[in-house]
Amino acid sequence: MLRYCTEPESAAVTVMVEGRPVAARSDETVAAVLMRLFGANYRTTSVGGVTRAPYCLMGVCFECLAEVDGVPNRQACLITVSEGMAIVRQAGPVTVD
Amino acid sequence: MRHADVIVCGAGVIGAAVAYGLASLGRKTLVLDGPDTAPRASRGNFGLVWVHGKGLGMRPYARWSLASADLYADFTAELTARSGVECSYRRTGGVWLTLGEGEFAAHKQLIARLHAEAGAEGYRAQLLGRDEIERLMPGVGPSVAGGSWSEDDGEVSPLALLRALHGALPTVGAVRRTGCTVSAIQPVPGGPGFEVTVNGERLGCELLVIAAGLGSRRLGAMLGMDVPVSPDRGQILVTERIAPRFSVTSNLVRQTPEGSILIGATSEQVGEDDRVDRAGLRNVARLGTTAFPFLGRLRVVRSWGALRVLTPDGYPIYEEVPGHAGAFVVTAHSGITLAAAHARRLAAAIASGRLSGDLAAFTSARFQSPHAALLH
Repeated sequence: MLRYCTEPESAAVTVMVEGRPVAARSDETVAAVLMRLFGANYRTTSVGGVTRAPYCLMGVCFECLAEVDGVPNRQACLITVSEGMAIVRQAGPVTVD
Repeated sequence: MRHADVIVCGAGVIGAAVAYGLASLGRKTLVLDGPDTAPRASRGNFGLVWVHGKGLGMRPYARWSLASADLYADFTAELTARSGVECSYRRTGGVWLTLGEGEFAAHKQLIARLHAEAGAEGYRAQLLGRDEIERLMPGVGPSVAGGSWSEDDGEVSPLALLRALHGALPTVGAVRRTGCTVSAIQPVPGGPGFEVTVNGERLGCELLVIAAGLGSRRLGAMLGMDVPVSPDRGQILVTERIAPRFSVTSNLVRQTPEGSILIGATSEQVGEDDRVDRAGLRNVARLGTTAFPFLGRLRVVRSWGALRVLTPDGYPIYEEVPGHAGAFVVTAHSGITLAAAHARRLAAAIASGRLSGDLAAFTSARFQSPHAALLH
């Protein structure tokens, strides 16, 4: 499990991870929050259902995907948290109407 | 000094396929891959192995495309066994989508003419109404009037195919050299064979194959042959991965086994510029969302441009260089579709020193004819 290596700053934000409030640093990425809460292997792929973890953490590999504010397949490593942000882990197929 | 039986200039999907075929026949083969800065059509391909709708006015090309598609499953299985690289070839059948009644009407004529030209040989393509397209590819937009279908068509991962070819080359004894620039090609005085100057080093061979894409023009000129190829830019968009939705492929969109949807492509004469631009990508997005409005709700994760290698009629050139027995020019816009035919059939013809039968139809002499076909 990942954890902070420095004390969180006092001016933290609260995000909603799968419906429950979670305190996060204001400069933290969504990927970091998810890895802190669930470990690195927090996603399964859309077609094969294979377990995946963030790999590059710089926007190249698309392995950190998560649903953010209702939009699936977002690159969690490129999104900094904000107050009230709704974050959901992504498991299995993403469908579109 | 003889360095190899065959030197193939070009290690894209065409050069690599021909080299693989020649090496499989026991020819000691050296394949020259260009510098990283070379325009590489093989790395920008959409990934269709497409048969139907091609070859109007050129029956040998229609037959040749079908022959390659018929060989594809076996050929890619062989490459996978040799290289360990899965090529993701699937003969899904393909839908040719047309946008608007006018385009559909023109397409109906094309299909009717192809059936007529095929005559008793038969032509496996049928027209589809909008409802039939909707059953094959759910979510089709109101502007799609109709299209056509053939079970001959399919798709492959073009990058995996190229990697599989490169991986398979050493297993048949072929050597691929990277970073090569050819500065001269000369026939060996008084004898068969050629001397190719590569990065300043002179390499001798008995047979020479020029399969260097857009670079074939420069290399052909070294033996006095005009190879009329010019760049045609295509831009492609790729969406986020979604659950499998399309089980068949099409001329405008296809879904990869990993779930991404590819949308393509533009056709632009902009010289050697292979960049994407806003106007081009806007056109591609419009094509895609007109065909399938739901694509507008997906996010684009990548886009790229690449240069097709086009002859004046869009059909391949296969030709022994006039006055230079043993030197062959091989260039085609459909290098992915034709990969299996290039490796299995064309390589054997080159090894025999003769392009006969249907293959004799593909010389550049047709461009001197006033009746040269203008459609492809």
